[in-house]
Amino acid sequence: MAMLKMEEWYDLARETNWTPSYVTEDELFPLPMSNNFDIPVSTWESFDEPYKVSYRDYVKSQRDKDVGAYSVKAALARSDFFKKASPHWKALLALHFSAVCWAEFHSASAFGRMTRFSRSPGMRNMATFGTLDEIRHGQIQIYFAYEFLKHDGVFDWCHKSSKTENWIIISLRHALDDIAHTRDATSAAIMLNMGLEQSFTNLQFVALSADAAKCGDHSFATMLQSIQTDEARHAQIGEPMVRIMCENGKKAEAQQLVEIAFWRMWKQFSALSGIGMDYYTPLEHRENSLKDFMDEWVIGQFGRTIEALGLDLPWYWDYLQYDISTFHHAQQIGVYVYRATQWWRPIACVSPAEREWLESKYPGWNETYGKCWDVVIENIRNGDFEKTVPAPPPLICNMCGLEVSGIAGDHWKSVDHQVELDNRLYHFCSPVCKWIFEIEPSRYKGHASIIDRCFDGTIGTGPDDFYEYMGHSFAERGVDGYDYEWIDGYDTPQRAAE
Amino acid sequence: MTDNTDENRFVGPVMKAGEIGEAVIEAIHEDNEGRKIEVEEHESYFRVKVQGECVVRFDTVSEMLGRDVLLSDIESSMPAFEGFIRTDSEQLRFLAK
Repeated sequence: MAMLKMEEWYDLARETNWTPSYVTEDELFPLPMSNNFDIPVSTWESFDEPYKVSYRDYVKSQRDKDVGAYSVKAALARSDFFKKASPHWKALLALHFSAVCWAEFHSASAFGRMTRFSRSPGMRNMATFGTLDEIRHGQIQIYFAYEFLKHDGVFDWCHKSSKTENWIIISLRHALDDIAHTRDATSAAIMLNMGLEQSFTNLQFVALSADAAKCGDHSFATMLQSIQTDEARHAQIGEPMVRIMCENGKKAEAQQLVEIAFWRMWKQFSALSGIGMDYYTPLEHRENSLKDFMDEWVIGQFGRTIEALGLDLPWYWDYLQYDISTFHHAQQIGVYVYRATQWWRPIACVSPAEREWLESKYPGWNETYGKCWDVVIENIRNGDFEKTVPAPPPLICNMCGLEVSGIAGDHWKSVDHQVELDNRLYHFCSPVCKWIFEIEPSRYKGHASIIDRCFDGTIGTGPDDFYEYMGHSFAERGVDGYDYEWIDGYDTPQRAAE
Repeated sequence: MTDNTDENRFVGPVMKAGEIGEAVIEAIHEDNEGRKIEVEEHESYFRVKVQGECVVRFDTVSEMLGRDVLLSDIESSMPAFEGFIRTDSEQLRFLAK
């Protein structure tokens, strides 16, 4: 018997809305979980999945992907790649897996909410597959990461990190809670799919895979791309959502959701991908800089996409391009000098050759951030290691949870954007973080940054209290990944080159 | 700020390097005759860019590869794409608008 083509049965099979008789519509789809933005259900029902897939095809595809990724990993496990990898690449792997594994797994919850509370049957279909995808992404990454645990204890944090109050994890969790876990199904779909998955996951999962392949880490490269094949499919939820909003007088609302989510995720990926691509990737294996990849995937591809959809470029697009060239350089300095607060072993990545590369990609780097590194280098050269760790705590942004930084040089030119509310002074690293706060102060004002927690008594004042609060045992405090040996590159450049 | 945002922008898949990726690139050249096509090669992926609209017919990819190819096979090798995607049982399309 001939099989029907998918398009011959799909529309009929998708029609799963019904008229409730035991409860009201509002009880079935309560506003906090299912905001319809005053658009009639009949309009939401017009949501037509751009990327249609049957469950049979989905299972086949996912099985093939897993077979591909796991077989590459099994084949390469015998090659001892990890044992031979440089501290550069080990730091990148530790940062990626610790930040991403559970964040992905938690995304299943957001997709689960879309599956249950969306008014569109088509969106519920796509979100069902998205839920399964995100469970897979959590599992496959923890599995790959745990391969390294027998060699290096920092990979314990791939599982542990999301349950701690480490300052980087607080920053990441606050951002994802904001865009994915505390929003109704409609808002979460737009914010997660447009503000994260159609923009920045390409950066970390496709662009970084190019660096991984150049580095010879084919296991990591294959895993990254395998994950992104799922993201590329389920992120298409965003297109019909935004079109329906724009066509029904809700463009301003959709625009604001995208702008908030995009900026919140930019700050996270600026640190994660920025440090990974411009510092932790070994120089000889770098395909492009963060700025190059941002130009390709975000400024270019994502910018064209949202304009073609009928939205405008975010109002802060010019400021974003300034931030692309600055923010992560300052964060890299912060991550290194406050290295004991990281769970991995941070590395400086500012050898003479690396500085030359940074200067070529970011003209002016030597005269700005380089000056700060000059001081760090001088202190290490003199054996004054304690002087490489600042005594005062950093100022942390009350929105993104990362350092208020600005541009280095002969002096730090930091700009602290402030808001005073209810007798409390809030600090922000950028006008955009401040703008997000001011849109809905009641939503954000109760959050305390790690530094706020030091001053409000949440964290004790004993020498170990800060680390214990963050979940770090003594052995879990970050130290220089090269044990300062990279400084040899300054005293004997020839030896470093060798 | 960005250009090339109209119906003439370049769209198409980003394919993982490998036999399916190569077959898709060949098929795109055959299925999109008359349109401007560019292929950017990166270390682990190819970005295929077709002006206005890009069609990938599964039969053409199968012909190139010498075996049956379905959407699920292509998806496994397609980590990203530019344009608005449309799928059915015979082809993939990437639209500019």
